[in-house]
Amino acid sequence: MSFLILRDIEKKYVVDKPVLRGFNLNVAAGEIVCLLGSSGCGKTTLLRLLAGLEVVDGGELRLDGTDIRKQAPHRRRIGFMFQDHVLFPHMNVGTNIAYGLHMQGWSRDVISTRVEELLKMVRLPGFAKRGIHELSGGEGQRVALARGLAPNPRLMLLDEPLASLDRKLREELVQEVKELLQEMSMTALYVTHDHEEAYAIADRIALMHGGKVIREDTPQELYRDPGSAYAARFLRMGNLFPCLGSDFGLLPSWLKQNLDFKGTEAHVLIRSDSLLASPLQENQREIEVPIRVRSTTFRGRYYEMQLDAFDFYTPNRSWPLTLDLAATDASPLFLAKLEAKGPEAEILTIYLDVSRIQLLEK
Amino acid sequence: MWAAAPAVFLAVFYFFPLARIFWVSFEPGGVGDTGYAPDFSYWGRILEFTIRQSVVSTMATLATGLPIAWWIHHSSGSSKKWMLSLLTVPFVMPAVVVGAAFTALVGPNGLFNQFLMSLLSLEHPPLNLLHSFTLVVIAHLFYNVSVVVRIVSNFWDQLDSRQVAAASTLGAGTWSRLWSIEFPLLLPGLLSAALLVFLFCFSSFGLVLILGGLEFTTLEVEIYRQAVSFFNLRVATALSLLQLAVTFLVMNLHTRLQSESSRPGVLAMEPESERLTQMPRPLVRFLSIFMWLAILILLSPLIALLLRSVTLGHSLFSLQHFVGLFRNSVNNAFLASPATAIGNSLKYGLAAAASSLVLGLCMTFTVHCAPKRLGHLLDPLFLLPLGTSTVTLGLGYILAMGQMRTSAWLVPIAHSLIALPFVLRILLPTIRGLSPALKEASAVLGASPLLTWWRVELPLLVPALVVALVFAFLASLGEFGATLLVARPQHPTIPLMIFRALGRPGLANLGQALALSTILMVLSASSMLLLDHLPGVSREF
Repeated sequence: MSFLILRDIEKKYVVDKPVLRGFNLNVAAGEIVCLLGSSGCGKTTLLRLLAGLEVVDGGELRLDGTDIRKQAPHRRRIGFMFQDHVLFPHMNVGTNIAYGLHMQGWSRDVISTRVEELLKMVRLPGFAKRGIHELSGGEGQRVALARGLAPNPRLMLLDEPLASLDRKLREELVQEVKELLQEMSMTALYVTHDHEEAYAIADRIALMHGGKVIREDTPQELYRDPGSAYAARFLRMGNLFPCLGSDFGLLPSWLKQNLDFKGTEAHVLIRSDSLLASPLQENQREIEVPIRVRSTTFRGRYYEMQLDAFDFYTPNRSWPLTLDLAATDASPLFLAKLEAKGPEAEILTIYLDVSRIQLLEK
Repeated sequence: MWAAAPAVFLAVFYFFPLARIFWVSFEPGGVGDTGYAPDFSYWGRILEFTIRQSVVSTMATLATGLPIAWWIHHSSGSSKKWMLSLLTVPFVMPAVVVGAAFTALVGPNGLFNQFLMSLLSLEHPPLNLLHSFTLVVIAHLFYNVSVVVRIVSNFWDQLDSRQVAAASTLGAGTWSRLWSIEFPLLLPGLLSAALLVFLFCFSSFGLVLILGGLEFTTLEVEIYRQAVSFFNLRVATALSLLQLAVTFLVMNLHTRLQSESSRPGVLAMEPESERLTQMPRPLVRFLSIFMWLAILILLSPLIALLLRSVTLGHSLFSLQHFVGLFRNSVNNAFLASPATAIGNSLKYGLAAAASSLVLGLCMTFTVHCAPKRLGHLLDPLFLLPLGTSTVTLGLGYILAMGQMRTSAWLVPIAHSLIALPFVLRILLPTIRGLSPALKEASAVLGASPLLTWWRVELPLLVPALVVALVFAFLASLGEFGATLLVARPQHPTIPLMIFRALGRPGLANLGQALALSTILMVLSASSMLLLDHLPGVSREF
């Protein structure tokens, strides 16, 4: 049986506007699961329900085999890390970390050893006497993590803990947090809206939409097959074209020829990395696509290209297409070819990798 | 749980006395009785004078306060802080101290007359400003200018400076920006300040009683005279009703205006004050000197008080009047010695501060923990004593307390009631400013609600509690109106002693009044300055 079981969780603040409806999730001991979703999808609410800061309206909530729905938050032994650290301003770093240990009635010298140990773990040795206001954003979050982990909670909840930090620090800290959680074999639920952060930290990602989990898988598997148009859009995977009926509706002919579709409703995903810089590889099919360049934006590691794709069978229609061209593939010759822009420009041909084109059925 | 103590306290010591006033005024023979034939010209005269006096005082205060507010808005750093603190000093002065201070400045024995006499070798004081309308207005201006400056400059600081910047990019100069952008945006703050000043002038008691003399009678003074001098309780209660009606009307307008003006959109996301760098340097320097001079003039009565308390009856310096206070001779006219009065004041002050702090803490948690709707109802209810005239309150106690009205305890009780709204206004914003996540963080770390209250909420309130304690103590120390009606003659407080000494002839009496006033002034001013520079506490007034 799973360590944490959430079954059919319901929660609403306003009548007829449920925040969570039929939320299901199982978490194994020692697993780091990431709740990924856009703002307002109910992921923070779920953490607050788990911590006991909100009351569950319906459903089952089991931690280590026991029903915790009726337990007061201070008896649950569930750690919580807030978005903006919420350290107690009238205490210093050390007393903040010791707070939860005092609550469990640890003795004084054991506490001070434990505090030093945790400060070492979050790479802030010797910070115990510092005031809260002297800490930088990253240090504050490290102390908050140490404070949450200090009493050895049964489950650690992290609510967008890195959202208020700048990108570079966030990428560094994600790695640290993950290592720390793994080192302590901590079961953790990590909430974020940033899919790259989720890929980096999670053993498993639970993608949330409309108050429930719509997809649950490892980061690699989720990336390989998003499963739905919503997921593909949320994970910013590339271009999506709706197709209706078995004749693929209004798709360009070069796409239709390469699809095998039996259903009635689906989306075609053309990943933004499906552009081939050098066509014609052995044993591989590629698609020839007539295009006109609208704009090219240099993004460092790649060029982002806004294109209009055409189909010679329906000359009056065009399909917007956004593709990334890896900077290493962007030979001067290729770029020069794409130099001509605008409605007057000549129509060019590019090649797409068929293996990067996917059909997402409903 | 929190609500019980303050509810009982307010019911017994606030609502019941007020109800008694209603009751008495509607008894047979009272104004509510149909057989009563009111003398409308008498009522009209008093009301007209009270309103005229308040309107003129308010206008004068606004006219003085606005330029200073403008300057404060445009200055920054420590000079801004000090200017604001110094300007606030008069506001925390007890009314009797202000009365004594003006006597020390412009009275027959005042600094001004003494200076003119020695300069022109005159036999008699050339100026007699005491007991004049002008002096009442000037004293009110002195008292309330900080209200205008604080409210308006704070409002100004919070305006979105980008709007002013936008106006100047559209070609508006300093004056048209001031007139077309800043003034309209400031209007709610301006009105709110004006209403407050009007309210303070309308219910001003001690100042008018001391500086206005017999000729000028406001509602408050008349209530006192009718109740104490003529023991005409019916007329007094009727006047109290009128007083209550006007104050509640103005208070209501004020709170409505406040909720209007705090609508989002008026306030900037990031307040950032426009600095004076665009102005030519010599002009800035000139204006700065001018403003400090203005502040000096504003504080001159207090300076005069200090000087006269050590020079009265002597050419140079003497602590004679201070030493005299502790000679422990019971002055027959007062039934008590000054030292007793000081002792009483300290005793009452401590009792009032302690009880209003405990009650205020209970009120704070009541309002804070109550459901939102109820909290919105309770907050103004708890603030009601702020708008009630102290003389009316004292009158209510005389009418309502039966045997207890001779008790010495009534004084600190009245004082703590008067201090309560201030305590609430200090504690409530502080606790509302605490992030609810702090409580949650404590809970998830294993602390029960009681432990969370004890270890997280209460410690974070400590600075505000200190400020509230000092404020309540000062309020009690300087309270005059209610004390005058409630205190027994043999148990006077410092303000009562000052008032009586000021009303008697002779240099010795005046010296005693000045010395006592100086002690009160130094106590009030130093604690206020200290609190203003204490970190971590914001006040809502």
